[in-house]
Amino acid sequence: MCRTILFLTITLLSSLFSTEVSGRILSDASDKKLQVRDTAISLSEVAVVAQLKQKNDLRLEPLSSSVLKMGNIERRQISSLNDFSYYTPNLYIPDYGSKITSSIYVRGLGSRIDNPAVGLYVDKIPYLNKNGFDSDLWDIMRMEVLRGPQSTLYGRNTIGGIINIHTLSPMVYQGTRFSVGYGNGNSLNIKGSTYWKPGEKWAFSVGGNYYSTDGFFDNEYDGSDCDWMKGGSGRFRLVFKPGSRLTIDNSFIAGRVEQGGYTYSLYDAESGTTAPVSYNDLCGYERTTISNGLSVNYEMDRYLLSSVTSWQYLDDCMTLDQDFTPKRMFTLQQAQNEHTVTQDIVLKRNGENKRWQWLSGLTLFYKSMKMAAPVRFKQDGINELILANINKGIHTVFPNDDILFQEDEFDIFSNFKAPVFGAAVYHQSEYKVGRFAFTAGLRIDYEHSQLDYDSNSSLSYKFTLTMQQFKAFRTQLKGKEKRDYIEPLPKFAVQYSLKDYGNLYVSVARGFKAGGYNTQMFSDILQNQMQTDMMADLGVYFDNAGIAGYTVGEVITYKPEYSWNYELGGHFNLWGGRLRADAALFYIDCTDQQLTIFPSGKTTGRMMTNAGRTRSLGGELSLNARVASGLDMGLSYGYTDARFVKYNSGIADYKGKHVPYVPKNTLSATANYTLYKLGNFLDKLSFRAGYNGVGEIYWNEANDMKQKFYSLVNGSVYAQKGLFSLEFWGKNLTGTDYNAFYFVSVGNTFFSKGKPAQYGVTLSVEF
Amino acid sequence: MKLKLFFRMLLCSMALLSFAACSDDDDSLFIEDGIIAYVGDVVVDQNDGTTYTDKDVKIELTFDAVANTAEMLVKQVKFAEKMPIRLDMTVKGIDFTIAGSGITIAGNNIVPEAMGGPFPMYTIINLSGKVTDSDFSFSMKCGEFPVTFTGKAVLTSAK
Repeated sequence: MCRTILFLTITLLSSLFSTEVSGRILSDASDKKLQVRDTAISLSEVAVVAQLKQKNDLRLEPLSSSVLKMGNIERRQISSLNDFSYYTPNLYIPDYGSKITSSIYVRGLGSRIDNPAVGLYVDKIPYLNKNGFDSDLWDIMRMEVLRGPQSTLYGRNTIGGIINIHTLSPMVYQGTRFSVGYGNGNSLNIKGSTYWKPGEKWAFSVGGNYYSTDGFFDNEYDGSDCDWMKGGSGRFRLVFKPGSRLTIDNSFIAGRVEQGGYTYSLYDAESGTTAPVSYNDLCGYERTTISNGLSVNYEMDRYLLSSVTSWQYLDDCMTLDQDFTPKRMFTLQQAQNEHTVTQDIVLKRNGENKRWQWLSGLTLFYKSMKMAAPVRFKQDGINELILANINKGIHTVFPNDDILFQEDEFDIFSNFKAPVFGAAVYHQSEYKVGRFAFTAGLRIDYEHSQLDYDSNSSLSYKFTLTMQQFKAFRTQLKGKEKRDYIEPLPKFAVQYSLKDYGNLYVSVARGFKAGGYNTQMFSDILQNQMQTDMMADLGVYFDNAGIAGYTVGEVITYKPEYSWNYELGGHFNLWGGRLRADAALFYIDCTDQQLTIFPSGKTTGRMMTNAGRTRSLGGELSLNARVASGLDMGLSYGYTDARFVKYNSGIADYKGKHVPYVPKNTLSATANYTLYKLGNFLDKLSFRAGYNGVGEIYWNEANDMKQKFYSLVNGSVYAQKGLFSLEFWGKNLTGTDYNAFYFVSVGNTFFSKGKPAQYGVTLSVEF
Repeated sequence: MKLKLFFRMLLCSMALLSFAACSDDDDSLFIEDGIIAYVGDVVVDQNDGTTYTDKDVKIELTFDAVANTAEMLVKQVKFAEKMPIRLDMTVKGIDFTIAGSGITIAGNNIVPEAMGGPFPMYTIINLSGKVTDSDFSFSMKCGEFPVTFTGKAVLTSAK
């Protein structure tokens, strides 16, 4: 009983003075219904903080973290990880322009394609594929980001940290929520959910959302909407608690999205300007995701045994005009079908105030991925990308004769199977001596990855000097690559308690990001192979062919990335708890950092490569204060200086250059002022003003292109009366013009613009 | 012994598609589908008082006893230092005669095939040569350039 009271007390205190202070003082609530709505966030702490591997209050741990709770998530119109990143220092998730993936950067580590640098967990379920990261966020009770490698407890691909998302649980909130929002860009957003607890032993919730938008950019080529989107998702959650010890929690989530193309604009280096979006071929993306997660907790007197089992299904298809110009160059379709099964079993010492606290775990996963990625070369592409290359050599000997293709279009088919499985065992202990707490942990991570590839193409060609007829020709690359990794992933930390004033800590941890395969390069590889094979078919061999001598395995395989993260930080409670400050300084030594590069020349793909060594240093500072009754203010700032220590691409030496895509500064400031009980007219009136600043960001290894520091201003006015609430909101209200992302295709540079001013209104009802 | 094997090869080539039936288990030069290969130097008179030698050029000979012709595939050959490419060149319709310890070949005004079709630029003039189970040599004029070849037989896999 005492333990329970203590537990609840800590929880309520932590919710009162959360990283982002809740907009409502609990004791103010006289209206029971209102209290339920607002306290849903706080009460949910009891459930949410029953974390699988972390402490209930992340600020008691020797790590740098940020937390956003439900009120702040909804008031800030956070509906994606991209929105979330603006409010967390040193976390940068640019608008990729498509939901196909999320490029996440933390403290100088990140990933544009393939394996993520940050792990994502939704209700304790790990999402292994970045393609599923950009999903619909609604009825989110709590979002957390843990910065720095979390590989000891979470394993592969958490080299930059993890993001934890906790959805609203029917065990802690019962009611029905419905909202409809409309904004510029003809953007419609509808959400509805209901939470029931028919008995003490079980509860369930059902919910769904739908959204559509015309987007904010037009394709000048045909005047169509470029970044239109529509989609929705559904969630069913069932919690069963047959007794005081056992809890079974099952979440089923399904989602569907259909959207238009990237908003890539051709960049003119001479003038420094970007042209309007203009491309001729179809661009779009569609995705269906289904996942089910079963969490079972059995609480014993001294131990807590937890099991999380998940199955995830992802089926998506991306269609691209990959030259992003009005020319008939080439298109890409990439269709994936993936099944993932994960299992995590954790045994830990029950109760957080024991002198020796520990947890041990076992993790297993299997991921099966099939992908078809045909590239279609059209007339301009055939002429400029393929025949130009082939005939360049031919013309050195036969200046008046050419190789010709019979087809106006032809396909390079590429089919892949990429099974991955892994297993890990881990243990972490914390031992308290006086005010000190010593933490040590170790994980042994094993991973096997494989790629079966079959890339082929058929066409007819002739050499005008010697051939009267076209000759059928086929080229094919078929093979298999596989890799095994065994990685020890240790962590050490020492924490010193300042009692009521917080704590200080130092930590050292190793991070690991799995290696992988450059499937995106097969179009280029097969083009080269086609040239080689076609010349061999003709019986022609160039002395200086310009066709690199390589093995397919060398080109398509990239190595794992490793890091050591050294950190000094603290969590502070000042002025009687009215000001909370979190600060951290870090230094990261990273070897074989995975970089997405665009090979020089008129190549059609991009590839992951390993930089020799990088280092990243910086810090985070978060301040959150209740300045006066009803007035909350928050400030967070992150600084990162990430540079190459050793990286020679073979073309240039980038030592000392900034690591691309990593913002040097991330700044967020928020003020929220709330008035309660304005006569009989309103129960609540809240004003929020927000500022986000990001930059500068270098786009390439040479650092010759960058986005300067830019500012976004956001705000909202929220009014509540009884069951209803109305909110007027705006993002990027000043219409800041900035580049959100960078891309290179066939030697052309493109930028994706950030979204312009967005504004809208949301009507909600809750009962 | 070698000569005997050599003629067995020739007999096999007559059968054309007798893929595996004629293989032997000793160190024979016999190639399953009737191809015998030689590696040696191609020497090209540059018509300017100099010669260019392309070393280790592989030449495959195929004999068709029914048609009484031979085919010569010169693989990845260069005829001049500044020639930026190597070519596979096939000379078909070569006459051959079994004579003494070997075979003599001859041909004139043969348009070779290269780069996917007839290649009149390198029309073969006055081809004459001698083939044994260990050596192959010939001389000819390839286009405007006198060419000689001297090579040794090698074991090769048939393609």
